[in-house]
Order: sequence, then C-alpha cells, then structure tokens
Amino acid sequence: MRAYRLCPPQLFRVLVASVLQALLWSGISAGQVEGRELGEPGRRAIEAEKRARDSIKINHPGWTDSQVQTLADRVQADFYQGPKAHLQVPPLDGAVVDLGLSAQSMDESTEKPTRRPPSRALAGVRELLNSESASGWGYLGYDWVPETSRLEEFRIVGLAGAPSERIEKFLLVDGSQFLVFGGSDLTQQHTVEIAYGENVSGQDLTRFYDVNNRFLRDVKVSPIAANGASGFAGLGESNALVVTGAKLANGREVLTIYSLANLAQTGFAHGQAYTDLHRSTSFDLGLISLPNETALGQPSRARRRTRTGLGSVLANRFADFKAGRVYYYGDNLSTVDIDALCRSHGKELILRSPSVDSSILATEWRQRQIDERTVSTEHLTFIDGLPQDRRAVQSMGQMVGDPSDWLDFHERVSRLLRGRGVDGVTTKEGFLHTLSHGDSDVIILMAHANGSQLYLNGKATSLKELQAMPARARRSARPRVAVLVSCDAGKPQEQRTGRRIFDWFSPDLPSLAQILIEKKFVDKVIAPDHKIQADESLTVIQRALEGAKTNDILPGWTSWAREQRRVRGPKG
Amino acid sequence: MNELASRVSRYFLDLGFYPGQIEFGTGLPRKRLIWSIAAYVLLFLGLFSHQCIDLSRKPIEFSPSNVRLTVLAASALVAIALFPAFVYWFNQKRKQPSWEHVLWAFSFGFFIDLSSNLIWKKFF
Repeated sequence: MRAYRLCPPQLFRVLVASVLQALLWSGISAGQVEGRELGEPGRRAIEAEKRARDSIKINHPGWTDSQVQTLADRVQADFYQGPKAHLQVPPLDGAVVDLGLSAQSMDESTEKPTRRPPSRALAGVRELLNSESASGWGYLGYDWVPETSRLEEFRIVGLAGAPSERIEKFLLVDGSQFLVFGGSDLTQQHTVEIAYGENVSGQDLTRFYDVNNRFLRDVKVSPIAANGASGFAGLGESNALVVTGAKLANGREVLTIYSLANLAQTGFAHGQAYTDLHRSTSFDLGLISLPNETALGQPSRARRRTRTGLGSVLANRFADFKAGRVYYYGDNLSTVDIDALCRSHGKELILRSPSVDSSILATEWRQRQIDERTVSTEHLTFIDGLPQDRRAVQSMGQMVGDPSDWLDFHERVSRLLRGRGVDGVTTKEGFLHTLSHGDSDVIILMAHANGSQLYLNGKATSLKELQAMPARARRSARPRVAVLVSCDAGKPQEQRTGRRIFDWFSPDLPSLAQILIEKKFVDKVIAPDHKIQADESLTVIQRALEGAKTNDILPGWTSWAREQRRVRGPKG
Repeated sequence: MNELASRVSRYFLDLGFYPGQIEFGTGLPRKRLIWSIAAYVLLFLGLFSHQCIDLSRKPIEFSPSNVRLTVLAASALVAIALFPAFVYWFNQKRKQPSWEHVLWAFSFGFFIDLSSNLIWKKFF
C-alpha cells in the first residue's frame, strides 16, 4: 500500500512508457548492429547503386526514372560481373544499337519504313494501337535481333501501323529505358514512355488514349513558339506536374505523368505511363537484420523492398519537388487517392475539365502570379452577404439560429473592415456585376447557403441563376482569386453528394466554387473543406485584410481551381 | 400574417439547439432540425409509454391496450404547449445536445401524461 502511494498512476504510466521505449530502442539497436555487420560486398552494392543513381540524376536531369534505373542496373550488373535476369541490357557501346528510322525522316517522309518491323513485335503493336482513339498516335519499340546481337529500333504510325499517317499526337515509346544507350531524339515529339512494357500489352487502351488526347488539346491551345519558348516567363522552372488517369475497360488503371517545366522548355509533352500493376524496387539500407544470413559479417546484400501500385509511383514523383501544383485529367481512380496524396505532400490539386479546353501553360502562369502576391486591399472587393437586420435573418429559414447572434457577427465584421478602404458589395446586382466585370480579388462571405440558394442580406440568389450567366469572354487582365467563406465550399461536388440522406434531396448542382472557376469569373478559389463558424471566418477575413499570401490565407483551407464534372465527366 | 405564421412555426420548430452558434452552410440548421424532430419523437414516446402503463394495477403492466386515444391526444396538446419553452430554456443551460436532452424529452412526455391524468382525476 505504501509502495502504491509512492507510485501514483501517473508515475506508473510514465514508468511503463519508459520500459516500452527502452525495449523498442534495444530492438532497433540490435537491428542496427546487424545492419552494420553487413558484408563488404553488400555494402558496396548498396553504395554503388546509390552513387550511380545520384550521379546519373546529376548528369542527366532530364532523364526519367526508368532511364536512370536502367543505367543504374547496368552499373550494378557490371559490379556483379553479370546482367540482371529481368533486363536484356544491350552493350554500352552506342555503335551496336541500330537506331532504325529517325524521327526526322519519318516526319518528312510518308514512305513506308525501309526496315520492316519483326512480325512478332508488329502483332503486339497492332493490339496496342487497335482503337479509334489511337488515331494520330505512333509506336516506337525495340527488338532484339539475335543474328546481329543488336537491339534495333522500329516505329509504327497510327492505327494498325498505317505508314501514311503522321504522328500528330503522341509517340508511345515502348522500352524507353533503352534510350539511354543512344536513340532517336524525341524532344521534338509528344511522347509517352512505357518502360519495360508497363503491363499494357493485351489491354484495351481506348480510355488511356482518350484522356491523353484530352490533355493534348490543352497543350495545343498553349501558345508555344517553334523553338519551345512559351511566352510565359519562369515556367521553365515550374515544379508543376500534369497527371492523367484512365480507368480501362477491364478495370486496370493507368497514370501518365508529365512535367510542365519540360513542356514549357520544349513545347512538347513527355510523359511516363504506369499501370496499377507497376512494381518499383528500392533498398532498405543497413538497419535491417537479415534472417537468411548464416552469420554476421558474412557477405550479404541489402534487402530489396518491392512496392506495387500507383500510390508509390506518385509519392516518389511528388517527393522530387517541393510545393507546386498537380493538374489532373481523367477518371476518378480507385487504386490511388490522388487528392489525399496531394494533400499529404502539400501539392495543390487542380482538376481539369473533360470538356473545356484551356491553355495549360496559361493556367499555370496565372496561378503562379496569384501565388506570388499578397492580398491587397486596393484590389479587393468584399461581398458582404450577412443579414443586416432581423427580417433578413428570418428570411434565411427556420433553423438559422438567433437573429441577435447574426447581427452581432455582422457588427464584428464591420469593425474589421472599417477604415481599410475595401469596396463592399451587399446587393445581388452588385455581386453579379463584380463577378462578371471586376478584376479585383474578392472575399465572398455568404451568410447561409443551403446547397441551391445563396443569401445576400437575406435575399436568395440561386446557383442555377449563376450557372445560367454567360462565362466571361476573356479572363480578367489581372489573375483573380476569390476567398469563399462558406461551409464545405472547398469540397468537390462528388464528395458532397450521395453520402447523407439529406443530400439525396439536394439538386445536383455544382458548388459556387465550381461555377466561379467554370465561368472564368476568377482564376482560383480558396475555400474551406469543412464546416466553419464565426471565429474561423473572422480569422480568415482578418488574415486576408492584413495582406496574407493568397496561398497561405489559412492552413487547411483548400485552394481551388476546379470545374464542374471534371472527374465524373462524360467519357471521351 | 405571414410574419405571424413564421413566428409561430419558429416557436414550435426551432427549439433553440446549439444556441449562440452561427454557421455559413447547411450543416448547423440540419443538425438543429434533426435534434428538434428527435426531441418531439421522444416526447411522444414518453407520452405513449406512460399511457401503456397502468400505474393503478398491481403489479404494473405494460400493454398497448391501456392506451386511450382521447387522453393521449389531450396530453399531447398539453405537452406541445409546454415543451418548446422548456427545451428552449434547457438549451440555454446545456449548449451542446447530449443524452440529457434525450432523457429529458422522454421524461417530459412521461410526466406530462402522468400529471395530466392526476389533475383530471383530482378535479374532474
């Protein structure tokens, strides 16, 4: 009893936690000791591969992961004095690789290729390009010729390899890892690489072609000069990615990842495709005890960790650059939650419309303009939708709460705005005019939005009315941001419907954020993806008025540049 | 006239759940509505439960055959008249809805029916 008094529950919990921690650390230390005892060849293998990968990345910043991996594999193969089983590595001597027809000769000539692709390879390619949507696509592959011990490049253009068709869209580069050993210059050609075949053979790729064709429309409306100069200064250093996602007819999912900086530099889109069957391999360095080792200190190799699926692919790509933006085209994929991945890596996700064509580079350029500036009260309009008297509160519905609470809140907001010289708009007419003709940033404080109605000082404005407004013919000269202070306004429509019984009765309308973007009223909407109450609203308004950066109004608020039906849009 | 109707309906429908809170969306009004409906359902459940129990018998029994619709209707009217004022007052004391609200709504119905019966028997 006395001992118990000396050891109260709180102290007991601390003791237990300490013991557990000590046990945990001792376990980890044991692993580290064994890890340190890895044999010399194992350590050298790990270090050699790491050094090789780093060196390749430094010397070839434009190379894709698959190309880097291939050369790293080659280095590793040299180290172990033998090739890896899964890779048919050609000799490093570039002279032995037959490049076949160059891109130049194919583009300028409509004649049939002089070297006929092997029939075995041709059959596979016909299967790949067997889709109406593949019209304008080409195929570049490699074939190992045992007689000459050479890896030969061959190309097929268009549906079923029709030689007369030009490659107006993408060149599907199969086995792109071999490009590191020399090959055609593909910088002046839209390409999609499928390293190691990427499990696409035998699949109906129609949806994949459709989604990437859709992205290409936004590339083609981007004003890019012949020399690759896009006219948007600074985009060459952009860390934005374009991701297209396609759900194939058989349920397989394909992601294609493009670098926007590369597009701005070259004027052409160069992507890498991955399926949900993708496998990536990495080393666990040193900290792991190796149960298959006979004894410590014996020669050992580091444990390889293999990950499958698209999540790890995207996570790796996202980890390569800080902040930035991801433009997404295509389907809502089930094997990877792109929205969650973007959030966890601090990326801004922008979903692109399946139907509205707009320049991808112009969009990125305007978004960057917004990112780099702060909210200025000189260029700010405040849409004050709060009720200003009891009658206005009551007209918003039965359950909105005590009118005095609303009027108190309105008074607090008025105090914040007083003396700052911000233009205020309280009427519906003023609100609509500001949207369709203004070029200042806007803070929209909606007193109550019930899904289909917005209330400005107690007067209802329907979302249908806003949706029926004509879109702006030209975007405002100054890229424009809207801070939308309304509950759940940052959630995509597909997340807000069909989950609760009340949503079944809600009309299937786009959110205000979606309409603002779709109609080109603003370039970006910053809105909460959760319920907000008075205090949080005041904080946001205050931060905006104090000149916060537009992408840092409040942590946790979603930056938006989404459009209606972007993900669930009609296919094709 | 419309304003009067609006006031009356607000008195009976808005029982003052989540007082002092405002929200810029549909979430809070929905929650208020759900709690109000739930409170009325519990109130009538309390009334009905008391009707089913004949406290004059020994041992007491629960049986729907004890229900007298006319008495139930009268008790319901009394309950509806008193209940909003009570819940509104209670919500000022307990600002977040909880099991207390559930128990109070049920008990309110139960004891309104009990007291109505007692008053009826004593004076009429």
